[in-house]
Amino acid sequence: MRIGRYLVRRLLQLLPVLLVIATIQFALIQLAPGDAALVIAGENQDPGYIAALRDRFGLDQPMPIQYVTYLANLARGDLGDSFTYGRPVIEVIWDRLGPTLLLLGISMVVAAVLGTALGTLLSRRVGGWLDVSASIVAIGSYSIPVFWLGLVLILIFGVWLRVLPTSGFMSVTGTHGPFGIVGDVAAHLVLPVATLASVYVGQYMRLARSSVRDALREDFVSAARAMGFSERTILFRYALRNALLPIVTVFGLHMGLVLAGAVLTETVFSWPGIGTLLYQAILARDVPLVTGAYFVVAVTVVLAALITDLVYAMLDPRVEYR
Amino acid sequence: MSARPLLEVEGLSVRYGVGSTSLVAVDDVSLRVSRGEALGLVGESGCGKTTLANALMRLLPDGASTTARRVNLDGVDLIEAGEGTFRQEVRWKRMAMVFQSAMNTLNPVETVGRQMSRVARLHAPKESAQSQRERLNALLARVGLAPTVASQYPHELSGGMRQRVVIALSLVADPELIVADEATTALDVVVQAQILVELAGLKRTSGLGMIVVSHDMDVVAQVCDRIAVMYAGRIVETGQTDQVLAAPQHPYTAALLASLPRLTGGKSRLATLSGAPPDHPERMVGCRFAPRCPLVTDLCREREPELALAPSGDLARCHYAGDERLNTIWTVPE
Amino acid sequence: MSTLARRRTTGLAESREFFALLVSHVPALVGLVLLAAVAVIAATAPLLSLSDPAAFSGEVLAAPGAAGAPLGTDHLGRDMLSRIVWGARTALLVAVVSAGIAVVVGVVLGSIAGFFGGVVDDVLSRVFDVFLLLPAFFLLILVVALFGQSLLLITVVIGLTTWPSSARIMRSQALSYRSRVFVEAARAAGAGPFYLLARHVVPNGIAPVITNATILMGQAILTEAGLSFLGLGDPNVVSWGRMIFDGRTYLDGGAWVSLVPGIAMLLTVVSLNLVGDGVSYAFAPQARRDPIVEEAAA
Repeated sequence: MRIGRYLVRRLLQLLPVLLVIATIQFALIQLAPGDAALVIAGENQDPGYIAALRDRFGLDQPMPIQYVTYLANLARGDLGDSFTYGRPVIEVIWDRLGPTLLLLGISMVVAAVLGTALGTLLSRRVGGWLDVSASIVAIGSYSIPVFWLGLVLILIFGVWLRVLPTSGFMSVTGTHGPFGIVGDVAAHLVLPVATLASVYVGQYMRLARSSVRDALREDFVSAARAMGFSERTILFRYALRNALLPIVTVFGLHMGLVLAGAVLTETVFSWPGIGTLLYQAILARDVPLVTGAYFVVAVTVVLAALITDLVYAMLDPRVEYR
Repeated sequence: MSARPLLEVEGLSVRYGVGSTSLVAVDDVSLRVSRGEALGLVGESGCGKTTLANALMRLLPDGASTTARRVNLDGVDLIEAGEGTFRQEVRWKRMAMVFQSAMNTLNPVETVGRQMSRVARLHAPKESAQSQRERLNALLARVGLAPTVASQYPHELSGGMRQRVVIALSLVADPELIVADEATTALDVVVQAQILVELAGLKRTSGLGMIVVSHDMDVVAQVCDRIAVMYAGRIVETGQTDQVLAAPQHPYTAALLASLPRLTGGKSRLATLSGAPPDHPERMVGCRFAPRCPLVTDLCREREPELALAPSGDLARCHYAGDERLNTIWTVPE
Repeated sequence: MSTLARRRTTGLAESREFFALLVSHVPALVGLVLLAAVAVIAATAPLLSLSDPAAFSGEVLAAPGAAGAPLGTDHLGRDMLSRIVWGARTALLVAVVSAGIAVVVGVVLGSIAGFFGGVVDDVLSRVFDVFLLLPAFFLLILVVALFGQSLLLITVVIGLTTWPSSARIMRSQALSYRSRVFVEAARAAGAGPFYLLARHVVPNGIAPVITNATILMGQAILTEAGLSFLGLGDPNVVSWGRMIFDGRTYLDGGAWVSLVPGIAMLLTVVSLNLVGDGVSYAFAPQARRDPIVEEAAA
C-alpha cells in the first residue's frame, strides 16, 4: 500500500544507479591499458582460459554487444573468476560477506545509537564549555584516519595492556575461552567495532544535536509543553522522534563511506571479510576480484539506500507526498 | 457576572531581555473572565496579545520575565504555583490552548488518535482504554469530526479539520478556561465561520471560560461577550461587545472597527491607520497612540490617560473618550 | 545602479562583521593557525635543510630524539621528520586539487540546475543523486588497480567522485538567488542567463560550497591515505598513509613510525574541519546549523 508504492518508486529510481555503476565498470575495463580479456584474466595468462573469457564476455563482438553481454553477465551474478582462488568471484565474495556485515552492522548501530543519545543530551545546552568541547571531540572523531585509530587501539590494548585480541575472527588455538565461541568472536569484535564506530559517532552526535535542537523549536513542541508533558516526554516523544528523520537519511547516505572505513578496519585487524579479501586481491593483482568487490559494494550501497528509504517511510507518514 | 470570576488577572507585565535592550511587551494589564464567557483580545500584531496569552500559560521563552500582582484561576493563586505544580495541575487540566497554526501544533509523525490519547492518558492515567476511546470519539464528534479521523495523520486532513482536531485536543482534559490564539486566522472565510460557531457553542454548552486572541475584530465580534482592545502593551478599551461595536470610545478601537467591511452604511471610503506601533512604548511619556491619533493634543503627548469609565459605560484609556468626532475621523466622505 | 552600490557597501560591513565573528570563534582560529603552519611547512619543504626523505641513514628504527632525527627513523632508517614534512606536501596537494575539481564541477552543474530549474533541474538532480551513491573509495581502488598508481590519477578521481555534495549545495543556493531583487534587476536590464550566473548567482551563493570544500579536503586526505595504506598509493611520493602502513609491523618497539604520521594527519584534517565549521558559522551565525545537516538537507 502506501509504503509499498513508495518503495517500488524508489527502486525504479535506484535501478539507474546500478546501471551507471555497471557502465563505469565496463568502461574502465575497456579503457584500461591492454586487451580487455588480458585485463580480466589478470595474472592467469593461459591462452585457453583467455579464449574462454573472450567467448564468455563476448569480447570478439562489436562494442555495443560486448556491453550488453557484460551487463547480462553482471545481472546473472557472473563477475568472472578469481584466479587466486580458482573460483567464481561471486562465490568468493559471498563467503566473506558475513563477517563484513557483522562488523559493519554492529559498528553502525553502536555509532548511531551512542551518537544520537549523546547529541540528544547535548541539544539542550547551547553554548558553554560542554557544548564546545563536545563539538571538538566530534570533529576529532571524524578527522581520525580509521586505520590509524585501529593501530593505536592495537598498540594500547594488544601490545601494552594485552587484554584484547587484535587479529582475526576467533582464536585459532581451538579453545574459545570461558564464554564459548560467541564470547570468543565478541572479544575479537571489540577493537574493530570500537575503531569503526569511533570514526562515525561524532557525526551522529553533531547531527542529532542540531536536529533535536531544530525540532525543539517547532510549534508542536511548545504545544506539547502547554499540554503539560514533562520535558523528558517532549525531548524523546516529540523532538527526538522528529529529529530521527535527518539522522536516518545520513545513515543511508554514508553507507559507501562506511564500507570504505570497514575495509580499512578489516585490513588492520585481519578481519576475514571483504576488506581483507580486497586487500589480498590488490596485492595479487586479481582484477576480477577487485572489480567484483567494487560491484558487490555498489549493490550493497544501493540496497542500504533502499532499506533507509523503507525505514524513513515507516518513520515519516508524509513520505508519499514528498 | 455576579459570581466570582473564573480568571482574574491584575497588573500583569511581561518584559523581554534585561538592561538597555529590554522591551516591555505587556504593561500592567488586568482582565477577568467568567464561566461561560468569552473575552476577545484584539489588536495589531506586536501589540502584546499573544505574549499575554503565552504568559498566562507560562509558555514564554527563557529571556522573558513576567510579573503580576494577582493571577487567580477559580480561587487558586497561580503566582504561588511552582513550575511542577503548574505543569501537572494547571496546564491543559484547567487552562488549555488552541494554537495559532494547527498544522504545526500537531506532531506530523503521529496519528491524531495517538496524540489525543497520550494527552488523555497524561491527565487521566487510570481511565480504561475503552472509556478513553469513547470519550475521545465523543470529543471528535463534538467538533464535527468522524471517529475515523483518529487513525489519520495531520497532513492527511484539511486545514479546517486540523483546526477542529486542535480544538478537540484542547478539550481532552476538560479544562475550565481555553485560550484561543488566532485560532482561525489561517483558514478561509467559510471554514473560519464554522469554527467560530463551534467555539461559541462550546462556550455556551460547557460553561467554559474563553480568551479569544485575534487581530480580526470580526472574529472577536462573532464569539465574544466582551472585548479588550490592546495597543502597545496596554489595554486601551474594554467593554461589552455590542457596546464597543456600537460606540467605540477610543480612537484606536474606532480605527479597528472602521477597517471592517460593512453591509450597511453610506458610501464612505476608509482612511487607513498609518504608521506603526512604537518600538519602545514604555519609554513614552504621553499616550502611546498619540503619534498615530488624529485627535492628538498637547495633553496627550504630556500625560498618559488612565483606563477610566467612558461615556458609553466602557473603560477607555483616552483623554477624549467618547468624543463625537470618533464616528467620522476614520472615514473620508466622498 | 543604486542596488549595486548598496550591495557593495553592505558587503564591506558584512566582511568586517564576518571577520569579527570568525576571530571570536576560537576553535576556528586554532584551526586556521594550525592549517597555516602545515601549509607553510609544506610549501617551504625544499628550502628547509632536511635530510632526503628517501635516503637510508645508518640507524634503523632510531627512537625520536636520537641524534640527527628529532622524530626518529623508520624501519629503513629514513628520517621521520623529513618524511612528515614531505608527506604534508602530498596531503595538501591531494586536498587542494581534488577539492578544487569537486568545487568547479559542483558549482557549474549545481548552479545550472538551480538557476534554470524545470527539466534541466530534474535531470541534473537525478544525476547528482546517482553519483552521490557511487562508492567513491572502491571506484578509486578499481581505477588505480587498472590504470596504475599515480598521484595525479588518484587526485583527479577523488575530485570526480566527490563533487555531488558541492553540486547539491550550489543548486539550492542558485534556487534561492535566482529570484532575488538584484538578479531580477540585472535580468530586466537585459543580462543573459550565463552572465547572471557568473556575475551574481555564483559569487553570492558560493560561500557554503567553500565551507563544504574544507570538509572535502579533509576527506580527500583521508581517502588518499587509506589508499596508500592498502598499498595503492603512488610509490614515488611520500604519503602519510603509507608511513602508517609501514609502521604497523613495528608497533612493538617502533610505535612512532605509525603514530607520528597519524598525528600529523589528524591535526591537518582537524584544522580543516575547524576552519570549515568556523567559516560556516561566520557566514550564517543565526542559522547555527551543522554543515553535516546542511549536506543531509540539501
